[in-house]
Amino acid sequence: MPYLNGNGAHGRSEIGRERVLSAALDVFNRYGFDSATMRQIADQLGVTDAALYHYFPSKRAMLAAILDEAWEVRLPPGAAELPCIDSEESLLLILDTVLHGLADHEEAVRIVARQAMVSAEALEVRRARSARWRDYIVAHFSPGIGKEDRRRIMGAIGYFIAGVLFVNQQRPGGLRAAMADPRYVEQMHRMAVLAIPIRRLLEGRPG
Amino acid sequence: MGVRSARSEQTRERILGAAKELFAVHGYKSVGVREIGRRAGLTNAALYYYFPSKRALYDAMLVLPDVADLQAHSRVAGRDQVHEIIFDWIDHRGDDSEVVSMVIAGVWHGDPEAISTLAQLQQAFLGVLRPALERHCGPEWELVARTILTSISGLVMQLTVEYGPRYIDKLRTPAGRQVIREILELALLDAPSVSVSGS
Repeated sequence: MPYLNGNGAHGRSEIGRERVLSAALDVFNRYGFDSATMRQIADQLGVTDAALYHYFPSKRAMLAAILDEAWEVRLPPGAAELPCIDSEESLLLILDTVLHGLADHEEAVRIVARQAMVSAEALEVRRARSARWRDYIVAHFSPGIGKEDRRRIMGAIGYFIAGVLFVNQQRPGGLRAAMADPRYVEQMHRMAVLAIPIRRLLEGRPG
Repeated sequence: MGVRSARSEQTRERILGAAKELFAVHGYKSVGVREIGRRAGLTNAALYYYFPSKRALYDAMLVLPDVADLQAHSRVAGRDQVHEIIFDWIDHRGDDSEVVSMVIAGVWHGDPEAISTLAQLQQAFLGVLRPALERHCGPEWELVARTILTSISGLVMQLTVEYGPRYIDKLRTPAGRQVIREILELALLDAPSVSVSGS
């Protein structure tokens, strides 16, 4: 049903979810998550705050949606689902997929990391989202991998991805530039199979 | 005569402490000198007497690890040596946790100062691991060192986003040590090896 607010300005369909989130990011960045208000975000878009509530019930929900998009997995061409992690190739495919997803939303990832350092509420949102993402990857482990090894592999994947994201913040252009550089991607793959020795873990660890 | 210099030393420390606390969560760029002065209970003029610029404050709190000192520990080749060096770093370099947190916050803010400090810290880390890893892994040492650096950076970054400078307390718990141990064990499991002496 089309929605028009009181003064006949932008209706719901005219703002667009995407624009709301990008305005929210901008406001969080400028004023900090804790002191940002729905009104400021609405002002940024030139709409009433009532119009915003049609998209998101709170700024917290906006931050969660921003993180969801950042973690959203862009599937490799032709794949309906992510592969099972049962080999080096499938591990690298998952890493590339997640890292490309982060690179596509790098600015949002940066802003959320900054806000999480100063706002307990932003930190909580970030925590909940990371937990969900972990569960998602764990669900893609080959059934042959035992519980203890799942935990170890997941830990290794998590720290490695966080490290690749962070270390590349030094590079002009950040992670996005790194992932566009085939030489870097090749080196990153060589590091990944060392950091997450999936073959050895699948064979069972040597005593 | 000593009273005055002792008091001025105290004030200096108080300013540095206030600056560290603020930089550690907000990064370097977004904290103003005025805010630091307010937290330290000083006027701007008094603060400038001790530190002529924000940059001077930053430089004063930044003491990079002494690579030669840490390398002195790595006489013997082998995996255990790598563990020892890293734990030595965690146990004895903990006073740096505010600086590390400041660098991480600063990197997320895109501060050029923080980015160049991060590069220096990483070079120090690679330099410290080099002798032990070179003996253990040969010419491939750098790839292995960078792999360890990547995963440990990820761990420290995540802990710092959660706990700020208190990340160091988390690393020093048995659970924190276990995580580090696993990162190192996994990274060295398939690492090239040139000698049998370490295994």
